[in-house]
Amino acid sequence: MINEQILQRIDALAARYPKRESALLPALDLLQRENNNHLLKEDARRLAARLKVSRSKVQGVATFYTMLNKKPVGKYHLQVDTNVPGMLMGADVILAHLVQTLGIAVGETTADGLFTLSEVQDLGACGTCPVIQVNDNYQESMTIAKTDALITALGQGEMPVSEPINHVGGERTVLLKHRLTPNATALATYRADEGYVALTKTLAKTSAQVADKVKRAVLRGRGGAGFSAGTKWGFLPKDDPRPVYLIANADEGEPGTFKDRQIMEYDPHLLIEGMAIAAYAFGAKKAFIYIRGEFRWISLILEKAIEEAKAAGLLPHVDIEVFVGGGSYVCGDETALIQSLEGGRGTPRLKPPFPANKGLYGCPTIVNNVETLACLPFILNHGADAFRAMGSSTSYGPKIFGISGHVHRPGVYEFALGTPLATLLDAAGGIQGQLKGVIVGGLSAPILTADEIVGLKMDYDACAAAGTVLGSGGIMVVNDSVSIPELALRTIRFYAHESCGQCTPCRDGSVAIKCLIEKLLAGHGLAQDIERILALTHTIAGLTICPLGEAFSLPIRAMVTKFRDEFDALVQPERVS
Amino acid sequence: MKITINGTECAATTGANVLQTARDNGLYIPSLCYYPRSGTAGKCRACVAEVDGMRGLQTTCTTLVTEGMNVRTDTAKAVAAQKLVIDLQLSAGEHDCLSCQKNGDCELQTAAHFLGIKKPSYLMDSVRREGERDRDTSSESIIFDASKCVKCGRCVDACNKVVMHEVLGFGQRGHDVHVIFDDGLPMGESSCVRCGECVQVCPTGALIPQAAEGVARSWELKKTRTICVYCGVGCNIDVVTKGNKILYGLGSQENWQDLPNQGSLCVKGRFGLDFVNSPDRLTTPLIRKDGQLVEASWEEAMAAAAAGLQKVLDKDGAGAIGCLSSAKCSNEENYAMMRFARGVLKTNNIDHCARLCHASTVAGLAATLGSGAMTNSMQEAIKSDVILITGSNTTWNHPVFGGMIKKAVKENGVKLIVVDPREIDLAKVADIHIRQKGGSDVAWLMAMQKIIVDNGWHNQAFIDTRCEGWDAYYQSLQAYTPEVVTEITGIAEADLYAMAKLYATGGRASIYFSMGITQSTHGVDNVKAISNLALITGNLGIEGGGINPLRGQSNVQGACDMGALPNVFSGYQSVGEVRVREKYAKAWGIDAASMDPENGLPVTLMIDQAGEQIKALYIMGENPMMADPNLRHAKEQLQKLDFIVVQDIFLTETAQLADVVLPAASFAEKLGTFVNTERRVQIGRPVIDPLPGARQDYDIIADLATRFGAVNFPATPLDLFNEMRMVTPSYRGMTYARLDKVGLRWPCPTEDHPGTPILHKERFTRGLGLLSPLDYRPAMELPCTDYPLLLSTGRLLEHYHTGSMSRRSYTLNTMVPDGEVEIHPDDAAKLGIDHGAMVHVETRRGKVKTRANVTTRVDKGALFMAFHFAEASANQLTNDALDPIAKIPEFKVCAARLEAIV
Repeated sequence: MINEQILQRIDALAARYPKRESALLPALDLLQRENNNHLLKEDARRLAARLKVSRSKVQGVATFYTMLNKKPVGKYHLQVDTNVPGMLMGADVILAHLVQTLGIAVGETTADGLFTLSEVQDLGACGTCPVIQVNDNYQESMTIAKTDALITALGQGEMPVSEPINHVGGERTVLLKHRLTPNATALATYRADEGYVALTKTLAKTSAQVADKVKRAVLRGRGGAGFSAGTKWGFLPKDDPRPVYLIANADEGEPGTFKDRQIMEYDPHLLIEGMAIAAYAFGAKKAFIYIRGEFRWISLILEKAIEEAKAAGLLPHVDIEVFVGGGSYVCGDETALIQSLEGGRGTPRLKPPFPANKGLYGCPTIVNNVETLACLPFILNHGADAFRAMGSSTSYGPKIFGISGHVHRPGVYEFALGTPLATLLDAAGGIQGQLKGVIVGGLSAPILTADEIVGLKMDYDACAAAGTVLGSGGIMVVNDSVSIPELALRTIRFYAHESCGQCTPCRDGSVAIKCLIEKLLAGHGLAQDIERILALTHTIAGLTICPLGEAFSLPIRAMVTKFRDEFDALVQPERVS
Repeated sequence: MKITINGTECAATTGANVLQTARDNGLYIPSLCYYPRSGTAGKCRACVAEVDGMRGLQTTCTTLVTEGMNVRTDTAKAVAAQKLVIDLQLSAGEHDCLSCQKNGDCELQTAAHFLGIKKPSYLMDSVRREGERDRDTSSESIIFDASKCVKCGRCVDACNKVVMHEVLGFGQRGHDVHVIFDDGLPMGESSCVRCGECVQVCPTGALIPQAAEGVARSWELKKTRTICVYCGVGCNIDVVTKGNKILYGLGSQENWQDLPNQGSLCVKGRFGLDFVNSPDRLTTPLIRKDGQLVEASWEEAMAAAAAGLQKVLDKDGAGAIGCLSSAKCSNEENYAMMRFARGVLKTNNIDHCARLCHASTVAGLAATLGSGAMTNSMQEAIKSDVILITGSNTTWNHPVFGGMIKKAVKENGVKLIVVDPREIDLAKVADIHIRQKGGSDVAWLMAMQKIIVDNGWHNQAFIDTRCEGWDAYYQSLQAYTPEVVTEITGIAEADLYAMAKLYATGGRASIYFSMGITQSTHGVDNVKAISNLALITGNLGIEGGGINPLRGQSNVQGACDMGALPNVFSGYQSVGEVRVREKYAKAWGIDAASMDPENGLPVTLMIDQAGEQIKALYIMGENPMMADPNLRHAKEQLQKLDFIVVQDIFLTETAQLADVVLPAASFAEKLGTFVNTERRVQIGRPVIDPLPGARQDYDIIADLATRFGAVNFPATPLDLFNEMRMVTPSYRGMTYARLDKVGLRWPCPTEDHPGTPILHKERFTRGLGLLSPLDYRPAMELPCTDYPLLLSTGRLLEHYHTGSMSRRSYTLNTMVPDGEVEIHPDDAAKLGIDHGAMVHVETRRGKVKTRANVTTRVDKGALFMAFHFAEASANQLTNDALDPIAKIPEFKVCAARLEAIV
């Protein structure tokens, strides 16, 4: 229950933002934590009054984000990620084992109130699947034995230390340079290796010179769209009296992707220095890191690093605030992210206006991906040419590739853009079993068949030419043990779960596709159902407010068309023709 | 500009979107979420088209027109998308068109019909939707059927961005998205105020009015536009009727941007009009025989009325008869009543209930500016930089305008200062809310001005060129030192400073006020203090500025305009001036010398003089037996009269004392003009036929006049209006044809004059604005040992005035079936009173039994009661002490005590 002390903490949260409403999601999280991870309706009501927002707004937000528990949960909330990387790497087995061991169904709580079991969508730990999130804690690279040990330890009130099997490799020239350095999160460690030198150089230049340098480096956005960051900055209105905001998009949620996390968790100052450079380049005085809620412990690492940098006088020109999300994939869309940061439901906005003109609080706003921002220190330190010396054709600089699924050494690998996929797969220890297909850019990238990946270079243009997208560089390798219709179902289940629900084609179309695939898999499908799926994907792509419609239409269509025989085989024989 | 849609050349205006342009040109594009008043949402994705030069499909609702644009909504690609969206919507819901109330008027059905979709294609049965499948019938007036909801968000946007009630929202996400009320309550248990805006904007049968359920199909309903009978906002309503029965109201859509209500309504206008069809309506005249009112024929009743009045006239003269006109009747009827009093009976004893609400405004502003009406228009609220509201619970008493202010504050960043002892709704969105002690208004207003002048924030140029009386005024300001004023008002010095600074230096500032300022024994001084404040800061004659008294009744402004006042003819022309009397005498065909040259008695004095100077009252549509202060005294007085005629739609508390009762037609049955609070004259139209047996007020007056020998007394609205405008300069330029669309604001002296939204632009009506020196006087009766609490009275959102209408509305009386007294939790605890307990509220004048509402809405030491409830009438308690000039009673302050009933 809310008491005066909590109300004061809510006021303190509200004071961190230009508008009080922004504190809504953090405050709901606070209230939940104060009540055994259960958000009480009466607390939410009092919060509404305190923040002067309507009850329906609070309820709308509370029910939008999956991490807010509207029902009581056990002392330990076991959340198993069953998304595609997990599916490929045995998460379903772990989930089934937990159901059996605990004697409860998914969504239920044990009678002793100790455990609640949930299935969740993508925890951003794809290389270390299967993963179970226990309250705020990640337990990675799980096996049946480790799961049993986990249950036993929790039963005794102990949280085991996670033992992820993290493979890190590649050239590691920029982004994963410090990934294996001990104590890399400390400012001293970072400064010992050129840390904040780029910022010093930056502050000695004019902001126009900095922006120009970034533009010349042709730094393409690493979040997935691949749009030039320098050009994006150029969209900011000139001589505008409104404040400008910078937001680091750390809502890493694309299944198959776990790259930004490596930077934030192991080299936070690289991001902070990058943000400080960007903020200087376009005059942002206030910046935010919007990090997904599941990465709570990483948010603490970031906050500590920001404090250290501030104390060292490194951030005189910008104030950086960490904002923790509440469990929503679509908030990775920059306008949905802004809505969320303003204290709303994470529903994407119509564009135009673009955030550069009308973003956070209606002010000019630049949203850049973490990895994009992490490239800036290198560019400012070594020059645009050095950056462009890495890469191929129109794709320059380093890139972190997360490789998961059926490879021997899943993990993160840093290579220059344009590196052949084969090199990456070799680095990851090669393929387990017989290759069926590869998804190279996160789950929304259309799958490539074993034939299609031959000779593929990992840059934006080559991927486009191959009929897919480089996206976030989250590579998922699929071997022949996998049923593509099952993969398609798991894929559409994810998107249907994550649709914000505001526009019809995505909200109802994703469910229509899901129901049709379920029907096929249940053995009730007709040949025309396959055509219907294809027709849906054709019409939905491009018809939605944000790219989500496309994000499920294209991969589903690729799965159906490229593995049509597997779908045809599901159709009832007498009805094939 | 021109654009081409599907090969048809369409006229378009810059800034318009393609969808609206198509509609304006009579072309149909399937769409669900676009609704001009709630804005462009771009969510349903149905209205797509291919546009030359643009890649992919475009939603026409979000695409703005450009010269020569070529749009095709009929390509295979566009149609496939349109069909998919509509098909998915049909598949995701449960649309039982055969029995749906919206059949024939449903935008989903229209789209499906247009696209030739015969049945839904997609099975989504495997998906359970949280919160759906339930028909929410918990509200007495609105049915919510979630399975017909298309999640277009029009209702949510309307609730949050148009009427600003912020009750509706979306819960969950993805396929589970559904409309919620508050935090997921059934509508009837939520904080929904039943304004019904959501019902009006819903494209399907998801939100429908209970009153229409199973009553009629869409094509069996008739819509007629008229003016709402409740408050003074003057909402244009499309009243929905079946046969001769009113079902509900819709905010008028045609020209909505230029209407006072901009298409919105409150619960009273939407669901509170069914009183018109109440079985309690009078349809047979009544005559008192042997102490009892018995039914009579119209001829008997009219003869009895004429005879009764004639007897008094013969015995005691015209000065012994008082006429009470009505703020609910039309201009034409008020003019007729005025003509009857002055031209037939030859008395100036005519007044109406404006005496009880804004008499002090009329007197105060007439003295300082020369005109006693709102100086500016409601639509200007968003043009203000600062709004000061005092003594007006706007969201309850002028609900649609209250919403506009909220919108101005929340969406346009207008700064709001609320000075009100109660924590009214607007206080919650205000930048500054001050709770002053009851009756201390002159003190805080003058203190603000002293701070403004001392800091040099006043507008010297405006004072120099447009005002007079500075020296005496400046002198009188000096008494309002912070120490003195803080003691009187209870307002801290810093707060006085903050609001003075914000008002004076925040840009264009407007003041809105109502009964909290006027209903006081120093009401005229209060108004003058407000006038001073606006004058010294130059906030008059400018857009977004002004002094704006919010008028309470649907035609109280008109009743004043028509001269239903003891001192003026129509258009505020003095009865004391010979030339004026001669003009009217000529128009009426009577001898000017026979007219009464002296001011008549105001209603408050008519009651006081009952049995002495006054022997008879002729009352049209007024209910002083509920509206007047100190009702026991009022009743004693009325019983002293020789003769009372009442014409009304109900047998009101007043009619029950009458000798003759004449059944009148209601607002919904008559043609005539009504003037809203911003001086806008609009046409009210009959939406149903008069109930059999009821006669039009103008018809009754003309009949009575004829029985007194009047010749050619005008007996139709048009004849009355045309005669009136020829003798009333401020109305001269108005004709029914000109008033038809959106009305005109007076003065409108010629037929080519556009009307006057803003008064006093170059000069004040009286020439220079008069600055008034003012002394503070406390209220007549303040809390003491025996009566330690301060009782204030007012109105509720759900009820109206004496309750004669609203308490006969199913929705309104179901929502709030009885009255209560608001008391602060500290006081309640001291007295041992629980929330909801029955209590006695007692003053020196009376004692009533009601229920306690323990709430922090009232301050410590204060009580609040609404005066709508005859069984616990607040006006049994109120003080009938009067302002010396305006003769308005002090309804807002009296001393009271409260005790639990054990």
